[in-house]
Parts: sequence; C-alpha cells; structure tokens
Amino acid sequence: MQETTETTFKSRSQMQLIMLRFRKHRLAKVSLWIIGGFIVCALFGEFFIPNDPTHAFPNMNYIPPRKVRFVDADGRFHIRPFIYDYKQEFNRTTWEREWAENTEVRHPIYFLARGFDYKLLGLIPTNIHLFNVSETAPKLFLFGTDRNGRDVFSRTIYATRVSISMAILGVIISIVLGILLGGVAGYYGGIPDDVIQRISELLLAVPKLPLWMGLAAAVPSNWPITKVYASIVVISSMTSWPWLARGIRSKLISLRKEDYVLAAQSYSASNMRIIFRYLVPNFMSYIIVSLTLAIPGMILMETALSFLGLGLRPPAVSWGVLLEQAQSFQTVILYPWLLIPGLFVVTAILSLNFVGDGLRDAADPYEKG
Amino acid sequence: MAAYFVRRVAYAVLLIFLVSVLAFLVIQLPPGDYATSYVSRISSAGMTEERRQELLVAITQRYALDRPIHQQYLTWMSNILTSGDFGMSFNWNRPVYRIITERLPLTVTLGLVTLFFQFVVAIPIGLFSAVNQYTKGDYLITLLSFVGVSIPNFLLALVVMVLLFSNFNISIGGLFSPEYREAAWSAGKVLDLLQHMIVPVIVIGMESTAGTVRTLRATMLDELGKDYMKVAKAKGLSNWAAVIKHALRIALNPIIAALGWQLPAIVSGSMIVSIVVGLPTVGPILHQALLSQDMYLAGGIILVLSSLTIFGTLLSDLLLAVSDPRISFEDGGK
Amino acid sequence: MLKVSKLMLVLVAVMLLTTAAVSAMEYKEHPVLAEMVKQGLLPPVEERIPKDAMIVAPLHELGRYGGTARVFNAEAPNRPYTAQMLMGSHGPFRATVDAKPGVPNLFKGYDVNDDYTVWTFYLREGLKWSDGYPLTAENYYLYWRYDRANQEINPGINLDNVTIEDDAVIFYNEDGRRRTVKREVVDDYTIRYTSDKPYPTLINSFSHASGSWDYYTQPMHFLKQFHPDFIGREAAEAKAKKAGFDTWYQLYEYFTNRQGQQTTVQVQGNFPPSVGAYVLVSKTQTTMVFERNPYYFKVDTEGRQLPYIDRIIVEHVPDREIIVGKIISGEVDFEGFMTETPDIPLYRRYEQTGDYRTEIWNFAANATGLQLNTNYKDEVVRDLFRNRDFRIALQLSVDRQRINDEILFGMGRPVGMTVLPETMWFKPEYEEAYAEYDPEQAKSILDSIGVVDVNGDGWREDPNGKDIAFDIEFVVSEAPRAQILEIVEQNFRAIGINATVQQREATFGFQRSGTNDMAVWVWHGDARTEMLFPTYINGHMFPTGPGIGWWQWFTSEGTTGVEPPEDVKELFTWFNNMQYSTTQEEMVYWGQKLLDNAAENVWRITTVMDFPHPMIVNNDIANFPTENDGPLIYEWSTWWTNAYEPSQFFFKTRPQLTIEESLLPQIYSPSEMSMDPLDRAIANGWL
Repeated sequence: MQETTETTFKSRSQMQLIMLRFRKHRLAKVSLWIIGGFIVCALFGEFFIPNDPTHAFPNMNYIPPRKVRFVDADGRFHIRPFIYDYKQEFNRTTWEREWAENTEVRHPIYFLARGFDYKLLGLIPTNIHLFNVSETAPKLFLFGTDRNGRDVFSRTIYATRVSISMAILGVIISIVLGILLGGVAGYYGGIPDDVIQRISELLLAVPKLPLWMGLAAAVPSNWPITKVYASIVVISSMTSWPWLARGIRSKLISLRKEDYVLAAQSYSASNMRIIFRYLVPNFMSYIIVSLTLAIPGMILMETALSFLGLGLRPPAVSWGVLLEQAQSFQTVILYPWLLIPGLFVVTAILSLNFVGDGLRDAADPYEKG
Repeated sequence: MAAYFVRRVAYAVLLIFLVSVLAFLVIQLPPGDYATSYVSRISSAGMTEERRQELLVAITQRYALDRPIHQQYLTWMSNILTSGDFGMSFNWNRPVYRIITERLPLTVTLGLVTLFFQFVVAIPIGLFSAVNQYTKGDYLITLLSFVGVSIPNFLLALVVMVLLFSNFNISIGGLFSPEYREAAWSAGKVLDLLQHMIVPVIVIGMESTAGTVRTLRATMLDELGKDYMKVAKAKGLSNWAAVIKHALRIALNPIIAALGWQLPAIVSGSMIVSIVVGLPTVGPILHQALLSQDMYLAGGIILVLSSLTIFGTLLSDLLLAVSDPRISFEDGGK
Repeated sequence: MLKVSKLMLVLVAVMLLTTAAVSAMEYKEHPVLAEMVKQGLLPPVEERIPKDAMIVAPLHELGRYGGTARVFNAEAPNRPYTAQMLMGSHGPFRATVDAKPGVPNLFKGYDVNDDYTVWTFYLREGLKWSDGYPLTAENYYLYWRYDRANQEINPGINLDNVTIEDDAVIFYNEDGRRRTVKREVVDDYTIRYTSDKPYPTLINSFSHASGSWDYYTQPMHFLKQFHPDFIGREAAEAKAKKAGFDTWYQLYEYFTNRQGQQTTVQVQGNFPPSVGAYVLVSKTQTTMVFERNPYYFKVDTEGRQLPYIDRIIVEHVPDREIIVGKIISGEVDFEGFMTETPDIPLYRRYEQTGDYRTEIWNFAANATGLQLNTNYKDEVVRDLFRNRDFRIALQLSVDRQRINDEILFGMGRPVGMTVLPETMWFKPEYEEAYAEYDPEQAKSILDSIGVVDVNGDGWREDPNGKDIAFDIEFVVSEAPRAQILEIVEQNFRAIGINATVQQREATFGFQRSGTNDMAVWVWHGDARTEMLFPTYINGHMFPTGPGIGWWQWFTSEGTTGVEPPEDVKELFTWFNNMQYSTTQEEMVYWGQKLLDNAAENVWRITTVMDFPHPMIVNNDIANFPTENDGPLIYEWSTWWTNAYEPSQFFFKTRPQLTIEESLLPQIYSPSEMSMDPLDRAIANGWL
C-alpha cells in the first residue's frame, strides 16, 4: 500500500502538476478551448464555411450580414433555420445600396450540405460542408460580403490557417534559435555569451516595426504567396528570438549551478547531453509559456505588415489581408461588418494571453508579474 | 557607480554602431543599382548617354558606390558624422538630414507625451488594483489590461477616431485644426493640439500602459506584504500614506527598468498610428520611403530612430542606477 | 453625356468682347493691398495690372473678397493638384468648358494665317510678375534660348537642330514632329511662330496648362542667377553645392515651376516670382499657405482685381484616407482630386454635419487604360504584348459591366479606348470594338495562338512553353483604380494569365515607368477631346507603353529608343499628317485612320468611362459650377475646374483678411525682397 502511494506520487510529473494548477484557472481554461477552436478551423477550415473564400460573386459586393431566422415574417417558428431572399435597391439620394429582404420565399439552411469542392486536410476530395443553403438559393453570407463580393465569414475562418500557422511557425523558429543561442550563451558564457548578448540587446533596443518594415520591404512584391509567407516567418523569427534567448540564458545560468548539473559535469557527460538531458526538461514549462505568449506578437506583426502593404497580399487570405482591406472610413462607417475579422484577431490574442498567463502562474506559482 | 556609468555608455555606443550597420544593410537590400535609379529619377527619358554617364560618375563618387561594401559603409557613416550628410532623398529631392530634423521634434514629443500619459494613467490604476486585490475593480482592470495588448493598434486607431468623430465631433487626423495650424502658440492652440493628440496617445500608450499596470500591481502586492509596511502602519500612518510613502517608491523601480522595452514599443506604435492618423512624424515618411525604395531616407530614419531609442534606454538605466544604487552594484558584481 | 451649354458659349463671347473694352475701366483692389500701397510696399493698382487686364464675368453673381480655403494633398508634396483646382492655371490660353482651345488667358489673343504656318501671339501690355518685373516677349526669347535649347536642362534636345538668332530661336523636330519652327520676338508684346509645315494644333498646346513644358512661362529674369550662361559654370555649380544638390541644373529645376509636375507652387513669395493668382507666403514641410498675387492680371466686371478668395492653405497628409476623414468631418473646403466614386455614399451621409455639398462631375476619361510595354525587357511578355490576338484576348476577358455595376454605381459606359462622342472623329465602333465580355472567346483565341497551359500549373505558357507572368502597376489617384484593377486581375487570371496588380508610391511609379522596368502601367485614358486628341495622342491610341521604346525612336529620329516594325512606323506618319492638316476633312481623315487602327489593334486595355466623379465643395463657396452651367467635364483637357475660372469662386460669408493677419506685407517688405533667394531657402529649410 505504502509503495503504490509513492508511485502515484512519483508519476505526477512536473507537467501534470502544472496542468493540475492550470485547471483551476477558469478564464485560461475557457481560452484554451477557444484556441482549440481556432486550430480546428485552421485545419478543417473549408468544412466549416459555405462559400469558396477566394471566389468573388459578381454584383454581390457589400452585402450586409444575412440574418439567420427561425421565426418567419408571419411569426411562425421553424425548427430549421432559414434565410430570406434579398435584392439590391439603389437609393438615389444617399447613393447607398440597400439590400431589401423578400419575405415570401424561405431558404432553409441544411447541415452537412453540399457546396464548393475542396480537399479535406489537403487530401480527401469532397464537397460536404458543415452547413449551407441549397444550390438554387441565394448565397449564405453570414458576415456579409466585401467590396469584391467575397464571403467575409468564409474568408475569416479560412484566414485562420495562414495567420495561426504563420505565428506558430515563426514562434517555433524563434524558440529553436532562442534555445540554441540562449543555450550557448548561458551554458558556455565568455565570448560566445558576450557576442550573443550584444546582438540580442541590439534587437531588443531597436524599435521592431521600422526594422520589420525595412526587411519586409526588400521582399519582392511579385513573389508567390508561399515565398512571401516564408519570408515573413523568417523576418519575424529573426527579430523575436532575443526575448526567448535572454530568458533561457538567465534560467540556464541559475540552473548551471544546481547540484545535479555539477554532478553530471563531474562524471564528464558531454555538454550537449547535459543541456538536453538535464537542462532542457527543467525549463520546458518556461518555453511553453514563452511560446504561448509570443504567438500574439507574431499575429499582430502579420496584421501590421499586411496593413502597411509590406506583408502578405491578396489573393492570399490572412487576417492581416482582410483587415487591410477594411482600413478605411468608408468601411468603418458604411460597411462595418468588414471589421469582423478584427474581432477574431482580438479573441485569438486575448485567449492566447490568458492561456499564457494561466500557464505561467501554474508553472511557477511563486513568480509574480 | 562611475564604472557602471562608463560601461553603460560604452554599451550604448556599441549598440548604436551595430544599429548603423543594420540600417546600412536595409539601404543595401532592394535590388538594383542605386546610382542608376537615382539618375533615372532626376532626369527625363530622353537624356543623352554622355550626360547620363557623367551623372553616374558623380553619384558613384558621392556614395563611394564603386568601392567595396565596407568602404561604402565607412563613407556613409563618416558623411553623417562629419557633416550630417545622410544622402539625398529622391522622393523629396532634398537632403535626408533636413527631412528628418523637421519631423523629429514632433516624433519625440509624441513619444514623451505618450510616456507621460502612460505613467499618469498606469500608476493610479496599478495602485488601486493592488490595494483592492481580488475585488471587482481589480478584475476589471486586469481584464482591460489584457484587452489593451490584444487589439492591433492600427485598427484601434481607426475605430477610436471614427467613434470620437461621430459621437463628439472631434476632428479626424492631423495635429491641428486648420484655424490653428498657422497661428502663433496660444492657449487655444495648445488645447487644439491636446484634442488631436487624444487618439494617437491613447492608442500608442495602450500596450505599454497595460504592461505598466500589471508590473506595478505585481510589485506592489509584493511590497504591501512586507514587514516595513506593517511597521509603517503601526507607526500610525494611514493606509494610503504608507502605500505612497514607502511601497510605491520601491515599486517604481521596475517600472523605470521597463522603459528599456517600452521605448522601442512606443516608437513602433507611434509609427503605425501616425500612418493611420496622418501625423507629421517620421513614421509616414519611412513608410513612403520604403514603398518607393527611397533607401537613404529609409536607412537614415531607421538609424536615427533606433539611436534615439537606445539613448532613451541608456537614460532610463542611468536614472535607475541613481535612484537605486543596488543596480549598479549588482551589475558590477557579475 | 456631354451637353454643350449655350450659356457658356455666350459667356466666353462676352469675355472676349469685354477684353477689348477695358481701358475705360477703373481698377479696384483688396483692402490689404490698398493698405500696402499706402505703406509704400506696392505700387498703385493701375501700375500692377495690365492696361488690358482680363475681365472675368462671374458665373452666377459678383463675388466678394474674403475667406480662407482649407485643402489637403496626399500626392507628392510638390503636386498639390487640389489647390490648383482652386487657383487655376496661368497658361497662355485656356480651354472652354467643353474642351475647345483658344480662350485668352495670360495672352490676350492670337492671329493665324490660312494654312496655319504663321501664328502671332499678343501679350498683355503691363503684365507683371509677382515681384513687379514686367513680363514681355524678351522673357520668352530667353526661355527658348537658355532653357529649351540647353541640353543639360532639356536632355531630349539635339543641339544640331537648334539655330540661335538675335531675336529668334529656330527649332527643328521639336517634340518629334519633323517640322522647323522659328520662334521670334516681334516687339515687346508680340511673339511669332513660323512653321515650315502647317501647325494647326499649336493653339491646343498653348491652351493647355501643362500640355507641354515648352509653353510654360518661366521667370527667366529670376532663373538667370542660377544659370551658367549668365553667372559662369563655377558659380552655378557652387550655388548648387551650397543648396545640397549635385548639379547646377537640379537647383535650376528646383526654382522653376515645372519641378516634378508642379505648375503653381513656388518656393515662397517671390522666390521664384509667379504670374498665377496666388503667391506662396508660408511653407513648412506639411503646410503651404497661399495669398493673392498683387500683380494678378484678371479683374471682375466691376474692375475688382481677382481672385476673390483671400487665402488657400494646403496641408500635406501621408494618405488619401486622411483626406476622406477630413472631408466628412467638415474640415475640407474643396476637394476634387483625391475623391473617388465609391466614396460618394459616405460623402453624402455627412453633407449636413460637414456643411458641404457633393457635386457630381463626369469623369470623361476611361477609368483605367492599361498600357502594355511593347518593349519590355522580358521577351516572353514583350512578344505577347506585340501580338494583336493576345491583346484582343485580354480586352475580351475584362468584365466591364461588373466593374461598372459594382464600383461605379452602374452609371458609366463600358467601352474601349476612344475619343469623346462629341468630337469630329467619333464612330460608335471605336467604343464597341472588343469591349464585350467574352472570356470563352478570349480563351479560344489564346488557344489558337498557342498560349496554352502546357505544364498544368494553372497558368498559360507562351507558344515556346515559357512561363508568362507580369505585374500591372498603378498609382492611387482620381479614378478608383485599386478596386477596378482587382476585378481586372481576377478576369485575367480567369483566362489563365498570371498577372499581378501592384500599387506603387507615386514617385517610384513614375521612375519605373521611365526606366523600362514596367510591363504594364495603368493610367486613365484621357486626352480624348478635340483639343488634346490631335495633340497628345501618343499616350493613348499608340503602342507606346511605359519605358524606352518605339515612341522615343520616332521622336528622336532614330537616335534613341527601339526601332518599331513598319506598320507601327506608319502610325507615326499618320499622326504627323494629322498635325499638318489644314482642313477639317484632312484632320478627320488622318485621325480616323489612327482610331480605326487603334480599335482594330487594341493598343490599350480599357474599362469604363463617363462615370460620376465627386467634387466636395463647402456650402459657403459660391460661383462653383453646377450641372445647369454646362458640361462638368472632369478631364485633363479642361484642367478640371480651370475652364470655369477658379479665381471667381468666392466665400459668401467668411471674414476678410486684415492687414495684420495677412502675410503679404512681410513678403513684400524691402528686406525680404532684397534677400538672396538661396540663402533664404536654406535658412528656412526649404531646400
């Protein structure tokens, strides 16, 4: 009996302890679900959207979000949600295009309905979507359409893939750079430490945006999307690793003096072995926290660069590209639904910050701030 | 202490040198040959070959373009250091130096006002939050400070601008209303300027303010639990007096220390917000210069902005060392 | 769409008549100027205004002096087009509201012989620059001799083609027209152009504010002090160095009013002097302030010196979007250049609170003309651009109706490149040629010329299997190009052509268009009026894309550029023949040959023309034309508002500047007037 208890106790690794504490953090827990949702969207985006995100429907631009209804004009309730037919009317005085609903015909929304062709996960060809109206019905534009007649809802969901993957990739590269450089600096000390320290100080002391702009401006504007994507990822990780490297370095410096490291050194374990066998696991939690907290910065950077015309450009679909197209008084005042992607960005960043904060508290309950 | 000062200054100089290398790199990045594009910009299509060559030679000499890259760098740097010659901007057809100096005062002012705003807003809020830990107000502040760092500032700038305009009829963009633009300084003009600064300052300051609130709250909570606070209260000091007299003084140090990362963030933020709001700072100029490959202008702005930021950080370091001598001691002890 | 207004024709006639009956008139001036005369800063009004000043009949009512107009600019700082729409031009002549040439302006009139070989132009006696220096025929002689015939200033000129005489300069092949023109000074107020071939379009150039650099009126008495022929090369170079330039002619150009594309912007006040309605009284990097030119040569029917509006403040902002914001918050008194059609609903919504009105003009040019570079450095793309079938396929693939409906409220006309229907050359088939939307036919044309997708990447390759990819580059101004090109790009991609639209910052765009780095350059298809079509056809009906190419070969008689194929050479000959025509029949004949050819060959890919263009006018501004006053042609020929004489726009209620507020006394103080312009420019940081 005595023994089993001990095993149970032992099997609770540091990770499990962290998760245990994390679960008490309610806001962070909810946020984690939201992030999960974003990741699912990024992976299976096409399944959740009724319309091809890059397709421009002619003469369907600037349609306001369509109301999904359960109760019809006569006050009858329908179990299956539906939309009404709509058509454009031009107002001669205001020059505004108004989209009037025709309440005579209901167009029900079906689940697991057919729509445009795509490959699920890039592999399985299909045309099944989570929901859609029938083929003969007017298109379903949950968040309305943009100036080109493209479905804002579909684009927003679809953009998750590029924006989230870009941020994650960027952060992973920064982490790797951070571990390598921070590790080298922290473990060896001396001249490598000095050089790496100075470079990272440089990158920390310089305002990031002008630097990003300068580097991104050199990316030829007629490169294909994938190359621009890769360049932005590289630029962002090149300028972001110092944050991580510095943290890792100071952690290492304190760990280096721990007894078990000194012990390992005494039986002449290789440096690499010491770093990866003993040191890395000890700051794994730190890395996960930094990773979570670094992603928002990457997302913000992607949107900022696109906004400045220096990042991804159409026909790429990313949150930055969507927001760039929404950046005008015309949009904010006349077509506010084009700002909906902004809500997604804010939600994603907020959730990541909450999760990161929750993780940090859980990983290191004694450290504050 | 003196040794610490010298070391910090030496670091700053080293950093500025590295920044200049980086800025020079940015100048070199765009494809194509500078002299050729320069000549093609200042001449029309029908230029004779002879003249074109002559000009090319002149430009090549001025920027040492025919020599190896490190010598080009040295020429560029020594032109800057000896005569303030940052090169010509071909968008503006004027020396870069003049364009930057005209816009710098406002850029710096905007940064300083934002810093000021950040402290004025963040300190009371952080204090309140710490003293009233785990109350509704505290939660609200924490939530808001999270939201503050989560909104892309260009989006926020636009939306805040439209909201202020449509609800309070506050004018959109720029720093002055037309009637004050050319007028001499007066109370009215200052008010007008402040009114126009609301949007940029709030938007730029949002991120750093949120950060400062959180730092201050955490350190204050630390200090509030310490023995000297109990002693102070036992001496009969009121709660607030104790907080402000003792705890705040110590809790401010991390905030000054945080200036090191806040300054670059404020500069970045002011850049993008200036572009949205249309402020006559260096931000929009850099943006334009990069989009049109006006590289000496772009490089010059990056160099000057970054150097100023490093200088600001240096000042905050030294300030911190004066206010808290332990810092210089610890640093020296490494 | 164009309505020729009888009213305006009458108006023009009245103006012409009254010009003759001037001498009896007593001139009146703005109180500030009167005060300055009292203080001895200015000579009396009769000595400042020509004896035969130009009399402007107000459009609706006599105006009053007063008011400050606030305008914004987001173009390059030295191109405040919006301000120009309020200031008007100071070209020798001007266009009528329906874009016909020959309305007197700076010059009071002209004579021409029957075969259009001898043109005599008459200056106004007593016309003065804003610094009080008389503008006489001598100025033009100095200009021809030291500016136009100087190879450093005007690199396109071949000195072998220039003969200089004591009172005349003879140019051969100016503008590549293969004619010899003698420009001579007859007396102080008369200049004469004598051409060896008929030159009927000369008045067109003289009537267009920036038609050609040749017809600018440059202040030579001022520019002398930077010119090596007057002060020696060493001194000229030294001045340039001092100002931070590399060569003397950069400094010289800086002081001319044609620097960049500016036509009215001066460094400040009388540095350099101007003949325009306004002088610059204050300049910072973001703001320019203009006040009335005390020497301006126009008066209203009561003899009051124009302009009516006291002051114009131009603020430079980095982005068009800011101007939109300023408009709806009521801070803009006039805007017509940075407004775009899709924003009309937004402007309309805030008319009440912003206290302005949205006037709808007719954008009488094709919104976007895609100029294909037939001499592009990428041979794959170049050869395709030279292939007529390929161009037809591109033209057929554009969904003009959709562009019209989605962006232009369905109010434009989806057409090919053509002249305006009111002109003498017009045939309906010019508009219709290949202008229908037929992507299927476009695809089959591409298939038939071997442009097919061989490697299956979704894009078509050229007949040799090489990848086709090119950029379509544009600069934001006037027409909603970004949105239109978004659709054009989709259309091209839909037929398998890998084209990418790129927005360029203005200066950079112009540079690239001049260096052959551009495959496709987008500009609006204007110059389609009777006035400009025979004068500037090269930009629109010819195969002359951006870059150094066929057109340069032609104008330089083969010394630069690329030799074109025979059928293109023929076009250039037809064009010259049109320019040499002495009868209308001849001109129509050659013009239609060119238009037939353009319609057949699709030299430009076009979208939509004749669509509504918004102009924002503060409610306090009066005498601004409305649709009842005649055609509101938004086009380059009429120089936008210029045909309606902007100097007679006025503010109904805004207060008048007082002598204390005005910056003119300072500009005209003896100490300022005697200052060295270079020192002054440097001291004030304008260089």
